[in-house]
Amino acid sequence: MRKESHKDVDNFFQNERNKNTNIAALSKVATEKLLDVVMTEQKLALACGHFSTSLHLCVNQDDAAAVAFSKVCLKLSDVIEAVKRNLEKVASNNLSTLGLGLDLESRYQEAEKEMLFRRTCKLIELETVKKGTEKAKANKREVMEAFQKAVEKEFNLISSVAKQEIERFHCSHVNVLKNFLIGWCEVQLNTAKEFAELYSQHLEACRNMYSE
Amino acid sequence: EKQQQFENLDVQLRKLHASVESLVFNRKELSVNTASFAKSAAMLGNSEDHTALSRALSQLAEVEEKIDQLHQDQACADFYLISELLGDYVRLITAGVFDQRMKTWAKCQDAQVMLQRKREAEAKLQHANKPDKLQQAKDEIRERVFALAVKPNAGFSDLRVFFSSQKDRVKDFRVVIIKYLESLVHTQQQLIKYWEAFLPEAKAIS
Repeated sequence: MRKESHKDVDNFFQNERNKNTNIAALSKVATEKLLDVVMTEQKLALACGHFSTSLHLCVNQDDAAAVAFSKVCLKLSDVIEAVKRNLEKVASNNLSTLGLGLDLESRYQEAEKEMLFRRTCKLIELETVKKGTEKAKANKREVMEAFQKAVEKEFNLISSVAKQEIERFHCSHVNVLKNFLIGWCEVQLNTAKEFAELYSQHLEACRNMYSE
Repeated sequence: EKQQQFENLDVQLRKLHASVESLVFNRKELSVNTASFAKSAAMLGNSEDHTALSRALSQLAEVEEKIDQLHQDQACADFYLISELLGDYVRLITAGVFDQRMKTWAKCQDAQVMLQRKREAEAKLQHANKPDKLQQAKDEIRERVFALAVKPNAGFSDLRVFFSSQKDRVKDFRVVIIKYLESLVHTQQQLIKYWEAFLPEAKAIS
């Protein structure tokens, strides 16, 4: 924790670390909340299944009135079964598109966090070596300075690679999320149209049947 | 036989009622979780630097808030159309059967006690050698014995009235199915509007 909050020497990296800490946490929470939604959709689908089955078990042919009531229960059972399929489809859409996208985003942010942490550790090592070199006795100073140069070289390489990776990541993560958002919207739109049509057909059939 | 039919119907309706209560509960939980996800999406949108992506995520949050409202409306439809109807029938049967049974049982008990007293009075009159009053007592005992045989069946006359209103029950359920389907169609049409409005926002991310 102390290393993670160590002040950076470069404003670019300090800002990036601050943003990353914030977004990594938020994208993880968003992913978890979406998974909660999916789980509840699945539980609701299960409840619809139970209700549909219970309606199906109401079939009774004791007399004409019981037969009429049974037919009504069977019709409602069909409707509830359609609601169940609707919920299952919506849950599956959520999971396979936006759920996947948010999970990927969360993992990307965690990977960036680890990369920045490794750089921060190298920065701390460099600062420790610099302090050691300043305090070194004359006979050891040359060795310490050589070591300091080596650590500085490593740190500069890490920073250069990290900067390139971060810029590439900023471009690609926008595209990745964009594609997942479009995919999510399209499948949910198609599902809504499909079930609007199905429910309308059920409604039309019921109105015709019950007006006779 | 009618009593058995009644009890079967009672069991069926209770199972249905329990199932639909579970449905209502889960729908409300879905609404809560959808609202929670909407908030988290809004916070993610606010933290995003890329302007178009930030706007799309904020729009996503708004869509989810609207979907939450649809879930709440659908939960109301589940409850007020189906759950309450089934609950009313369960309460009706419970009140009718239980109340009628209690009354009938109490009447039977009273009749038994009265019959016993009359038999005791008849025995006393036999010893007292009063033929007129003895005959009157025998006639009364015969009437009471006959009434005890009929009363338990007559006590269920109110339940026969319930059975004769089964046509109303079928009509109630038909109306409910149509209204429920109308609510489902409305929900899907609203969802289509929301997704069609969101799609250009997602495509506008560059």
